[in-house]
This record gives sequence, C-alpha cells and structure tokens, in this order.
Amino acid sequence: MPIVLWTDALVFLLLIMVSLFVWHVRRHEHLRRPWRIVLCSPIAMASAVILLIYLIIGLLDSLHFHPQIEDLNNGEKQYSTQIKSVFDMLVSHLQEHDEKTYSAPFAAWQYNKETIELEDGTMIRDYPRLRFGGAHLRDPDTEKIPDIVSKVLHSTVIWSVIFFLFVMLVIWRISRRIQRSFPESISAVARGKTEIPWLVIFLTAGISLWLVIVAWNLSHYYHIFGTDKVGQDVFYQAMKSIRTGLIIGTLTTLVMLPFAILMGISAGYFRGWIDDAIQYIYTTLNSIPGVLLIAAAILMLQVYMANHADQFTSLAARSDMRLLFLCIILGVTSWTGLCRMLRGETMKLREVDYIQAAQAFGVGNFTIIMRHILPNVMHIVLISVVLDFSGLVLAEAVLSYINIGVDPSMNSWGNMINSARMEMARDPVVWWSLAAAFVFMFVLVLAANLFSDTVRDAFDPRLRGREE
Amino acid sequence: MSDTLIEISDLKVCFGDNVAVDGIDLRIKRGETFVLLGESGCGKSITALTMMRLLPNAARVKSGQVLLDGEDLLRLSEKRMRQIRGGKIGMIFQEPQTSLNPVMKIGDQIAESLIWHNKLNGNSSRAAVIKLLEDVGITDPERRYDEYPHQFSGGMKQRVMIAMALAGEPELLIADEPTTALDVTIQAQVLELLQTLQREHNMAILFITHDLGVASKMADHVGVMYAGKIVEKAPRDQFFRAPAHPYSRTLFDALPSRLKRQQEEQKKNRSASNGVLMEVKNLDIHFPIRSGFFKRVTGYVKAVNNISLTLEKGKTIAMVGESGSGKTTFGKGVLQLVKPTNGSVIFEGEDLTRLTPAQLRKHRSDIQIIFQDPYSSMNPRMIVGDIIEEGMIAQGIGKTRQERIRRVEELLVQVGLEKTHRMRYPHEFSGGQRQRICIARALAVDPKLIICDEPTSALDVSVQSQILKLLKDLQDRLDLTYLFITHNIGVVDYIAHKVAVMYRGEIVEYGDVDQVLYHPQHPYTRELLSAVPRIETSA
Repeated sequence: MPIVLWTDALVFLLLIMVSLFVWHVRRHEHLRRPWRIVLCSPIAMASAVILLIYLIIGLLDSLHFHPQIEDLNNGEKQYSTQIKSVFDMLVSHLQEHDEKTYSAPFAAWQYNKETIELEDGTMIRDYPRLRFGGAHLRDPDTEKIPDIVSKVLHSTVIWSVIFFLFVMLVIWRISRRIQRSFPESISAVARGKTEIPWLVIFLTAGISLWLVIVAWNLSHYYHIFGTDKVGQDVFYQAMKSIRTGLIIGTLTTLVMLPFAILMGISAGYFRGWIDDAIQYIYTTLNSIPGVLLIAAAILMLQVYMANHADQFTSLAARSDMRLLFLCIILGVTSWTGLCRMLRGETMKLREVDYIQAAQAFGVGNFTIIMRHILPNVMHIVLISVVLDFSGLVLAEAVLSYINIGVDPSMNSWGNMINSARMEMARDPVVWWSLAAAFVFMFVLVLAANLFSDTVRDAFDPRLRGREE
Repeated sequence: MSDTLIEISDLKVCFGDNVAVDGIDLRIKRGETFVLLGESGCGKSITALTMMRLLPNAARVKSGQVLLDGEDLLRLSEKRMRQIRGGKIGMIFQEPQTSLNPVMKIGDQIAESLIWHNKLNGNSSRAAVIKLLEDVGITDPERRYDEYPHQFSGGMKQRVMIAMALAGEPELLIADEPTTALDVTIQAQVLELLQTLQREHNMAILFITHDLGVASKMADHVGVMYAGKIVEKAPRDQFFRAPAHPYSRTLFDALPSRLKRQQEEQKKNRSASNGVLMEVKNLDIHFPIRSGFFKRVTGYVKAVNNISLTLEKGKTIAMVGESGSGKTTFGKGVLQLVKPTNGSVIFEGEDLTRLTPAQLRKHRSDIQIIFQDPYSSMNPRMIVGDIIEEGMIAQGIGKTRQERIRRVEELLVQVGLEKTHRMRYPHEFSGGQRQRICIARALAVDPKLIICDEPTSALDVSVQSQILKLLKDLQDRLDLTYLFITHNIGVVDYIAHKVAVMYRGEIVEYGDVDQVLYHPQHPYTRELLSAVPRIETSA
C-alpha cells in the first residue's frame, strides 16, 4: 500500500517544477544558450552524471509504501505499519544482513571479542565469525582475497556487457540526432569530436556503473563499509542518507525562493515604505544567530510532537515531519542573501529604458514585474540556488552533529558523523562510519560545486562576452 | 632628426578570423595633427591601441611595422615599451570618468607618471604637477591637487587626463575621441586647450573622432577609415573642399543640415499650423534632497523650473541643452513618468497631472517615447513581435492575436524592416535597426505625440540620417507631433520647426528655428552655438 510522506510530495512537486522549467527553456533560444555552454563543458557533464546517480537513488528512496505482511489465515491482505521505500526493496539484503555489533569493512570476524561456546562445551574468548559477512568462506584467511578478486572480475564481465549495450544504444541515438552514419558517430565520440563531451560522459558513467555493480555484487557477501554499533550495514546507512541530503539541499530552496523573489523584487520595484519594511525584516532576521533560531524551532517541534503523539502514527512519519521542519526553518533563515541581491538588481532594472517604455504604455505593475523583471533576474536566482545546494548539505551535517538536525532515527551523514564521535574515541578505533559518510558527502558536494561553477560561469553576464 | 615622427606601414590586426585593421599606412610629422575619421567599428581605436601595444589578448598583429623615430614599436621589449608609453607617446581616452582612480588624489595620480618618467622626488614632483595643472587650465591648482576625481566635472577630468598624458612630455599624443562624452561648450574648451598645448610643446597629435566638425577644427591632415582600411588621406583643406573617395562623400551627405532640409522640402508644401495639441504651463519638477536620520527633506534639486510650452499639431519642437539641463526630465514629466511638482500638462483639453493612475492609463497611448540607447530600450528576452505588441495589449488595440500580428507586420514594414523580423530577438539587430523597432513600438498605439529623447546620438552619422529621415516621413504621413530632445544643433536645424533652449532647468530662449539658430538673443544660446564645431572650408 503506497504512502506519500510530506517530503515525498514536495520532492515530486519540485521534480514537476523542474521538468516544466526544462520544457520552458527548451522552447526559448535565449534561455537555451547558457545551458548549452553547461552541456558542452566536460567537468559539468561529469558532475552531472554523478549527481544523476545520487538523484536516482534519492528518488527511489522517496517512493514509500507499507509492505504487505504475507498471508493471514482468512486470505485477507494485511499491511505492516512499517514504512519502506522502493530502494529498500532493491537492497533488502543489506537491511536484513544485521550483525551483532561492529565489524570492519570486508571482515569475516566481529571487531570485538566475545565468549564463545565451542562444540565440546568449553568456553573461550575470541572474535566470533560474522553471521553474514564472509559467511560463505570456510577459511577466510586464505580464501577471502581470491574470493573478492573473482567476484570483482565476475562483476566486471557483467558490467562490460551492460555498459557496451548502453554505449551503443546512446551512440545510435546520437547518430540519429546528428544524422550521420553509426560508425562515423562512434569515431567522433571516441576522438572527443562531439559538441557535447560524450567521451567524458561515458567515462564517468562507466566508472560509476562499474562501482555500482561491483558494490552491489560484493554487498551480498561482505559488509563493504563494515557495520555499526548495533550491527547495521554502514554502506546501507550511507546510501539511505543520500535522500536526506538531497531533500535538505533542494526543499530548503523551495521554501526560500518565494520569500526571496517576492520580497526582493517588490522592495526593489516599489521602493518607498515597502522597501523600508522589507529591509527591516531581513536585517532583523539576519542579526539573529541562525543556529539559535533553528535550535529553538526544532525544540518547539519536538514539544509539539510529544503533545500530539496521535498525529504521528509511525517513526518514519515523525522523522519525516522533523526533516520537513528543518528544511522550512533553514529556508526561513537563508532567504535574506538572495533577497538582497534581487532587490539591488531590480532597482537597477526599473530604471532601464524598456521598463520605462512599458510604463509609458500603461502596462500594469504586476505585468511589468512578471514579464520584464522576473525573467531578467532569473539567472541570479538560478546561480544562487545551485551554489546554495552544497552549502545546505553541509549545514545538515553540522546541525545533526550538534543534535538539532534531523531525527536521530533518520539516516543522515550528520548523524553518522555524530555517532562517529564516540567511535573515534574508543580503542581500537572504529573509522569506517566516518569514512563512509565522508566519502559519500564529499563526492556529492564536490560534484555539486563543480557543476554550479560551470552554471555560474555560463549565466554570469560579465563573463558572457568571452564566447560571443 | 627627420621630419617624420611616426610611420605605420602595412599594419594588419586580426581578432581570430576577423580583420580589424587591414593593411594601413600612415605617417605623422612632428607638431602636426593627424585626424583619423571613421564610424564605429572601423578599426580606428584598434590602430591607436596597436601603436601603444595595448591590444586586448584576443587581437593579433598579422603584419606591418610602427616606426617611432626609426624604432619599430612592435618589436620592442616590454620593458622598453613601458618607457615609450607615457614617455614618448601619451594617450587620452573617451571616458574621463572611468580612466581615473576614484580613491586617489588627482595630484598623486599625475605625480605617479611624473615620478616614473622624470625620476622626480616628492617635493619637486608636487611643484611639477601644479605647473601641469596650471597648463591645462585648472584654476587654483594648489588646492585641487589634494582633491579626488568625484570633485571634478567631466570637462575638468578630461583636463586632468590631458595633464597626465603630458607629464612624460610626449612627442606624440594619441587622443581617442577625447570630447565625445562632453558637452559642446566644454568640448570647444578642450579642443582649444589641445591646440594651445600642441603649439607650446610642439607635439604631434593623432586625433581619433567620428565628428566631421571636430575634425575640421583640429586637423592638419585627415585620414578616413572604413572597414579597417584608410580609404582617403588628404591635407585638411583639400579634404573639406572636395572629398575624393565616395565613402567620404557619403559622410558629408549624411550630415543633417538646413541645406538638406530645404532640398527635401522643396518637393512638398509645409503644412500650415493646425491647432494646439498640448500646452505645458508653469511646469516644475523638483527632486527632494533627503538627508539626516529621518530622511528629512533638506532641499530641492530644481531639475525643471517653471517651463511653459505650446506644442502645435504636426510640428516638431526641439529641446536643446547640455547634459544636466533638465531636458530628459522635462520629457518624462510630460509623459507623467516623473510626477511634476507643480504646473499642468494640458493635452487636448485634459490636464494629465490631475488624472488618477487609471484615467492616465487610458491616455498613455497618446504620448509615446523613443529612447537614446537602442541597446537598453528593449527587453533582451523578448522577441521583436512581442515587444511591439506589448503596448497594443495594454491599450486594448486589436481584438484578436491575428489582428495584432498583422498590425505588427505592417508597422515593421512602415519603419523599413521586414515582416519576418517579428520572430527575432533584439540582439540580432544593429543599433539603427533597433531604433527602428523602437519607433515601431511607439507607433503601435497610434500616438499623437512622440517624445524623442536623443534618438540618434548613439548612432553613426550615416545611420542617424536614415533615422531622421524616417521620423520626418512618418510625421508627414501620420501627422505626428515630436518633442525632440537633443544636443546636436545640426539635427535641430534639419528636423525642428521650433526650438527651445534649456539651461539649468529653465527655457532661456524659445522661437522658430531660423530665429533661434541664426539670430540668437540670449547670451547662453550664443555661447552654445559658437561652441558647435562647424565645417569650414577655408582655414
């Protein structure tokens, strides 16, 4: 039985808005031009491939449902109160392969010693074998490395078949598009002669796909990023955190944009007392420490949820509400920067001749704003949205670290890092939680930053002179 | 020492595949002024920058040499070149506002180049700078040494730029449109100054301009540049008496003047006066100066002060004045884009200043405006068809979309463009074509009065003459009335029936063209007219 959580609904709303935007851009040459620069930049496209993979995982993780509990005696269907996502189904083995406690990446034995009862009844204290990690091996010491190598090779064979088919299919599409013969297109792509850097795209996609397939294959037999204190697979946690990161990065923007655009443009366009009022609002808001405001809001929400426990039927619904609230409060504290920029740009634009001409025609204020001002400040909005994304992903990690971020039961990189605080202090050190969170977050933020750099360069009017 | 100071031979400069300067030869003698004349984009500024070796990165010198006293500048080391720049060759630019560092004292900026080239130390450099400031006609140089650029007017800044260029005692001064950004009266002073300095220092001047009048005042020799080539080189008198190249002749023909108007008007009869269209009575537009903690009004800038004016149907009134005289504000006040402080604008019996915004909206179609800058007057994100249609929608002209599109196409043809241009974006058009689109946009709502705010001053002369002719034709055909704001006396002479001369927010003289331009009464009008550089065929 499908269920739509609040954040899911908003994510899909955002997806629809982005699709509409893309459709709109494709129909207008002047809007398409800067995007074409982005499309032709190798770094941007490589980052886009990475972002796309994160996005796919995030979206699959946003399709939630109540799983059906097998059969009841009278044949009626019964649904569990648990909420799972499509992504959980795909990697169900990761969720089910729970160990007892810590184990290192690719380990076959537990990380802690335990008292084990041998077959002859004697008790010894030793590292017990894991229930799932490397359980298929008889003698892990000698068999593990050859086993991993053979599994990697096996995956590589599968990968090469899939990847070859994928590349051929795409090149076939390209050859149709540019109306050249198939072999010609192949050689053009291979020599990097195409306008869109397909060679780079294929390389990035190839490497990522290889990693995905290898990780998928190995994760059935090993815990590739180890397990945490209660024996959960860290690799699974890190992947579940992708959705949290993406939601913080995008929904916050959705909350922030209406404030920033509406207030910024009206302050700049109408001037006078409207301008004064809006300026006072954002200077006041700016002078309150953001962290304080966020902490207060989150604590308020916790009190509310404790008093209205009946409204939140499941753990997932609770943590989802807290995530949404975090997005809202982050949005409320972060719109001022964009608002100020839009105010300045609008003040500049309203004196421009074409807006005066529109006023001379008796065109209404609202129409002038929608038709002349909004499209001409859109590049600023876009640049700041893309640049803010990575900052927000990092903000989540910081906030969760000081316990005012997402719900502790929700998977997020911030929570993983927070728990790693204790793990780093114990001896021997448990480093893999932190490492996994770091790697996943680093790749996402790096890709987002590289992508946004190109977007900014493509849309910045000061740099636009170079290619014209 | 030979007579020739600098000699350029077979110079070719390219931007990628575009040839900017295509094999030019020229020679400048010591102490003479060579005027390089041409329209925008013909390569005159690139030539000057090549001589200074200050070309932008994208440009490449393909061939040729620039010999200064027999030394090829294009092959010198960068170190030696730094001594030449400012030392042997000085340069002044068009925009004095952006050429000075706003956070440095004027004197220190000049001293910088003095210290570098003449190896002077603190005290003696101060004395030398004050001497220079005196030379370029800045009064009270002792005090002004310690002032900042924003305390200087445009003309004064250009004088400072000249002082900086003179600091290294150059043998050649390159002046790249040095007076284009200045008012005519200031322009006359600066040109005068350059000539005096040239005599005193025995400098050669390479003077780059697009203005035939300025060229005629300054030149010893004239070179006309067109599409990267020098098409004609001649001594001043010969050139202005009988330009040899066809392109030079088109430049002369394009100049708006009385003669041209008379030639054109012989064909048709001038329509007689046919009633009053608009009356402006005692119009004041004052901008409050706010300061202090609660933004109290501490004073007023009187941009427009007690102006009364009557516009007759089908006639053109020209508002003439220098920048800051309030011409544009007056135009916007008539249009009610700026709310007048006092007075009334009576348009066909109705006082526009007393209307509510909703009532005013209905009258918007009667008065339209054409702006100076054809680049900023159209939304770059809209296609031409939508730009022209905007006013029609706002005013409810044309019931269906088909009807409006048909009208847009008609208008495009009317202003000399093609129907298919409707689907293009503004950036695909040249400056002149854009101005035609702006005219079509204004015409779209059937206005009776069009305010033309310097519609041709951003355009080249040849394009200017086409636009002026178009405006005149439209006036005859559609019985339009123009309020023509300009600083160009030649344009006034060509297009206007009446002239109002504005000075510091007031009209100092008003009357028929013939009377005001040829028998001016007010001293300011006389000063303005005498400052206009005229083409004189005898030296």
